[in-house]
Amino acid sequence: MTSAAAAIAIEDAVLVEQTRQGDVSAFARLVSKYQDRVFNTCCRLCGHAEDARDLTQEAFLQAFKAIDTFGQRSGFYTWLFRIAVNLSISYRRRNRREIRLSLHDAEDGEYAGGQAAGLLRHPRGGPSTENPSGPMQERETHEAVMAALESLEDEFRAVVVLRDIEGFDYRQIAEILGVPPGTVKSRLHRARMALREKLAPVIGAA
Amino acid sequence: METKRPHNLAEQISAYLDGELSEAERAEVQERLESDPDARRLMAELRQVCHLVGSLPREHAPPEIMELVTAQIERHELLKDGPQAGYGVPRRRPRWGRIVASAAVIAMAASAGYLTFVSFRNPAATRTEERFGPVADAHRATPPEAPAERTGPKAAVKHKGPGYRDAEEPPAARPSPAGRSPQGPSQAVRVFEPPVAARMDEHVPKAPMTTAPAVEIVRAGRSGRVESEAGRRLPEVLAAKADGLAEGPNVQEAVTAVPPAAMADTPTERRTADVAPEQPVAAGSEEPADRLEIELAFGDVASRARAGREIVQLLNSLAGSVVARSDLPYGQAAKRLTPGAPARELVASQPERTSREPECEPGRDFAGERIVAHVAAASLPGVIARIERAAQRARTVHATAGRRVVTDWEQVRILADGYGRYATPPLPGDSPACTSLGRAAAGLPESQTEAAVATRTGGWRAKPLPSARSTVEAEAARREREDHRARAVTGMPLEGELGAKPLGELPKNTRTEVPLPMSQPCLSVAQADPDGSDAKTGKRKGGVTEWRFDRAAAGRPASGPTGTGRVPDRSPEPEITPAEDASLRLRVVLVVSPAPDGHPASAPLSGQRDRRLPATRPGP
Repeated sequence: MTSAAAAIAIEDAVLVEQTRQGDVSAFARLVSKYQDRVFNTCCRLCGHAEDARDLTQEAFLQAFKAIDTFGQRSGFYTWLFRIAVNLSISYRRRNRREIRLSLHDAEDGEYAGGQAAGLLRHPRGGPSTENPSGPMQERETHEAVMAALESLEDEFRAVVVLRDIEGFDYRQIAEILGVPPGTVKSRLHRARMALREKLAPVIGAA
Repeated sequence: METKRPHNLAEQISAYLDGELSEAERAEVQERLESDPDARRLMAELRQVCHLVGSLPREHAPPEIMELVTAQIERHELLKDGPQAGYGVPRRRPRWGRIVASAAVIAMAASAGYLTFVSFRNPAATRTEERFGPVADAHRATPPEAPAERTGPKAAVKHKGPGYRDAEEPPAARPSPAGRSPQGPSQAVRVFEPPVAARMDEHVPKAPMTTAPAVEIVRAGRSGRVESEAGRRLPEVLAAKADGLAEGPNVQEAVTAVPPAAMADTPTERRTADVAPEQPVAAGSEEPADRLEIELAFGDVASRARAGREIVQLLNSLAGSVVARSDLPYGQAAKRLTPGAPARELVASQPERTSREPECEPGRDFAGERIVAHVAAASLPGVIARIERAAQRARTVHATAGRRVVTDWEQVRILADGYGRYATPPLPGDSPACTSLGRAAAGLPESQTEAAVATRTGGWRAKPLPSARSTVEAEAARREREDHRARAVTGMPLEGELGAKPLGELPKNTRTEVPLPMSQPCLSVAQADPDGSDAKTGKRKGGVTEWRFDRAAAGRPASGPTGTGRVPDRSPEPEITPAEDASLRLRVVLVVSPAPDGHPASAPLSGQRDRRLPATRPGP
């Protein structure tokens, strides 16, 4: 563990202890500290921002409720991610057969309305005049990667997200998922091989 | 071994990219990479895969996550020691639970009676003998160290059985109040005899008590009186609780202010005292069984469901005081609401199922737009304040979630029947739906009812602008969201909302109009008096109402255009043209209105609303 990681772990431990003693603001600091990472992970695991928001909220709430049972054998964030990942996987399994109909229009996902939102984003000269092909290509690549991720089984997608997006090492991933490190290694390999196959056009184009 | 090699090699390369190999394994992989072009190509492709996945844009948590979590934690802390909240049907207490509860009530009654008895035996309690005569004599006749007294309430319960009296208690030791028993008194038995309590009521003066309380029990009785036990001064206690209720910051306080109904029948000695008429608790207690009707008519299905869940959870948290049920199955009222669209299109849209609907099945969760509950009168102000906050929070959360929702026409309508102190008699011509400001007035086409136009028969009407949103409107919506978010964070209602002032300060026998937030362009909706006399900003003469757009109320420069016009009564399409930069966002936050006996408002639903929403399944 690096010194920075150790410092983070110590800070988390202090905040956890303060939370146990009834200081809700300490837990709020933990929420503020990890909400983006947890939300991003949930978002990549469940594939829907709305659901990810609910899952993130639920993860923090469960963490708060169970804060007394947290033994500090692992880092708080590892424990928190374990909750979030389990929630996300459970949620996805529960809702696997549902047909999702988005309330968004394909061309308009902003709350404030497409035209108005666009005007607000570009208040002085309309839309950006930069070359539109670059961002469009990038977006297509991201969509392809997201689709490939979506096609993976839950346990394989989880290891990929935790490793390649969140940067956890194998030991941490093993703690989060509750599997041996060897399983993490194997799953990661199989997941990457599957992604390599699905993303072959993208990789070839690159 | 050779057959496993490709698989192992790929796995080792994958781990090699992650730096998760030991020294020996790493050296082996490097050696293979140097000699095998396929291995090098595989590593390059895997590295590219890792890069592609890692280059996905990071999603940032919505800003309301913190608010949501904080609110949930607050609720969790609030309910931690209280009854467990749940959705939908109030949980039936298990049988053993009822038995335990009954035993607890009996034990509490015994304790209170015993302590009261002990307090009367206290020599410091002056003039006790004069007040109670023979009872006091009986006290004196029994020494304090008598075994029966030392056994306390536990023994007192035991002594209640007639078998005990016959076997262990000499008949001469029985109490001797008039009309009860010719035998002599016995402490343990006498304490729990009802005639003693009756005599106490007869003899105890209603002057404030000064005896130090042995146990504090304050309860609101169905008679409208607040009863105290063990000599606690009532005015101070009630004033403190009333203050808490008026502010509504803590549901738990409201709950504790209203003990379970079972306590009303405890056979304890009691003293009664009149409550000062300005006490909100006493005023609310005049009608102890209050029917609270909450109608959610804002946003889309998801936002209403979210608010409904919060409200039902809140109501269920008041188990014992509240019975909540929903009348309309979730999803039947589903409409796809489009910002800026004409109201008529909103109605024409087909119901749309979403993935969230199964979460809200009737009987398991919040199941409709309308919730009916019965709330103990004394806790009504606090409950209403909490409901408004819950609904507001749900609206705020949804509005900032990046979804397409309509917040232009928000309304939470709360009818609190029997809330007599602040009751407003219905005006002539009011339809049931119009007993509160707002939604679905009689005579309006359904297209406008969907827009939740604040209206009143013969009064003011408005309709949303059919044009597309302008940047000004979008900016106004943004400011509104910020206002809502600020409110959600601070918990403080915005200026102009009913929650900003205690219900007790509402004018009596008048309607209350809730102005819009200051950042919101608004149309001043003035209520014309039913007799046609001058109103605040409007006049109604000869069946025609004159109106004007109040720019000052909207916070606009006085030099801008000001709309005026004449609106015939019951006009189906009233023409109200606001200033060009004003969006007609009428937002009625909360109105507590009367529902006198026999008034149509007491009916569950108005016909207007029934037409718009399909037939319903009764709630559980």
